[in-house]
Amino acid sequence: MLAAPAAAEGEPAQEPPPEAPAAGSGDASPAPETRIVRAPAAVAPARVAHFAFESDDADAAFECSIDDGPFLRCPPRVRYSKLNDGAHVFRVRAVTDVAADESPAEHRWTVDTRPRVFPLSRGHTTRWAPVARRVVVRARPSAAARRVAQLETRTPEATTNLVVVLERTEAEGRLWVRVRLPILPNNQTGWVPRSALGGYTAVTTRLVVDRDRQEAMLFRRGKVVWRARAGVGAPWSPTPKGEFYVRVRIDSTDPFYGPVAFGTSARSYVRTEWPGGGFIGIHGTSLPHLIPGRVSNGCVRLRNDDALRLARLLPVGTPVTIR
Amino acid sequence: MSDQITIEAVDTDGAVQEAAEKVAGDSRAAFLAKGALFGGALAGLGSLMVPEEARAQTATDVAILQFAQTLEFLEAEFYAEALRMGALRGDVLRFARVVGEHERIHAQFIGRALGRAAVRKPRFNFRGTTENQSSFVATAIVLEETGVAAYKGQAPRIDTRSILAAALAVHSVEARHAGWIRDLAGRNPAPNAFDQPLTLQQVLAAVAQTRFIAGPVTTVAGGRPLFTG
Repeated sequence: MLAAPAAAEGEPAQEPPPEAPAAGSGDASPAPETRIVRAPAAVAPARVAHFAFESDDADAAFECSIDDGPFLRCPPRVRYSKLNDGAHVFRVRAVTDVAADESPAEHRWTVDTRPRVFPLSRGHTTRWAPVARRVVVRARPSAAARRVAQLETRTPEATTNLVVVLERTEAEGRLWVRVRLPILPNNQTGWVPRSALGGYTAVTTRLVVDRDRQEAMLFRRGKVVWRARAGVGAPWSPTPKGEFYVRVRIDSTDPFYGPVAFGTSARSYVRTEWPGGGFIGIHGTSLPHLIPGRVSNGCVRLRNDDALRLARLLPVGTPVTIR
Repeated sequence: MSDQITIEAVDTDGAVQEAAEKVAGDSRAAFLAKGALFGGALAGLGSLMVPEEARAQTATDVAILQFAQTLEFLEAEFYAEALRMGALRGDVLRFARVVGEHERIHAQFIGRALGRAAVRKPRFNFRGTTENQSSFVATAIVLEETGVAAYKGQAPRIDTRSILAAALAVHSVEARHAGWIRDLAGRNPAPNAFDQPLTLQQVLAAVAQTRFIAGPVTTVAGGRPLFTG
């Protein structure tokens, strides 16, 4: 639907269009020139378009055409509203009692009101943010969208809960951020209001766990900076595959986990009754002779010296790919 | 977001408050011999002209510079994040690039002047104001005008003449920033014949109301892990 042009001042601008005088109809007066001085950008996110134009003939009137419609008398400033998404063309010509601009001024633009989505994590850079308040996660950036999960401000280890932030958009008059979720089923994302999150922190590391090769590698800006053999989940309690992130570091007092353990957002599909909810960790071990192997309850086990070397290189918020 | 940010939040990190308490303290008698405070800062700062003879400052001067450095960190990171977020366009983008570089240099310069007394960079949460152009512009006006008024408010309290000269060199640039962003927002760049200074408490309130200085994030714990093993 397309609204008729209105004067910028809000007055209806419609009048019966006069007959456009034919150029060169016997009067020696030159045809007036027309120039558009205000127009939307080539790609505009608004359904409203404002135009202003002028002529070299101060006494000239104007006739406007939108989307190849008829030329109608219009004031020197017009506003079109309820424009549909897509390509549009506006033309305006100055007219006098004896002549009309034979080459109307023209402006073409595209209305695109689709929500613009901006990446927050891309390439080698991943951003994370703390969860600043308990918040419901939605399937789309809308308060009315399906509820996916609820995020708490603390982890089961009583540290700050954090989420990897993937992209942002504006909807319903506020910013929304798509985040990776530490929930079952694994590999889910959802949208939360920006106001529910704290400030962003960027990391350039990525941890990759290869279950078949029973190996883990840490990349920094795409280059391997750490590599070690690993123990992964036994066949009856497999390490889940997918895209996750490190959300907590535990300086362990339990020798079974070695000296250091990292908690990820991955969840075991089998150990759901486990204290804390069955989160998958990456940690040392008291049983180094079992590495490499399919030996764990789902966690990624490392020899303690490898775990300690990793701890010096691995910041929280690092994305984890388990394949 | 308008520039009428309400005063109701707190400086959860305590960074500004901590710096401000030092400014408010009456310890002018205590001198800190920091050596060539500004000498090293001059190198590589291009047209930033500051007195080379600055060599020492009082505890009051140190505290004022610490306060100023926190504000410069706030401004510098605000612009840096806005540029990283990619939401700015046209003249506003150019403004952010130019002014962000100025603020980064200011923070670096003050840090060098403070030496070991330099403050740590707080953790910030800009609450989405760096992710939308109109919010960015409104917030930038608040930050720049607060910065101008803060320098103006502290200038009479500075003990060392050379430090005062350096502070005024920063202050006038902040005033240019404020005029520039006001103009980009369609506002009168210089609405008054005389500007008013802000007191320390007023600056604190202005910073606190933004809630941009965030509280600590705890990501490390000790004990027995709960992971599946």
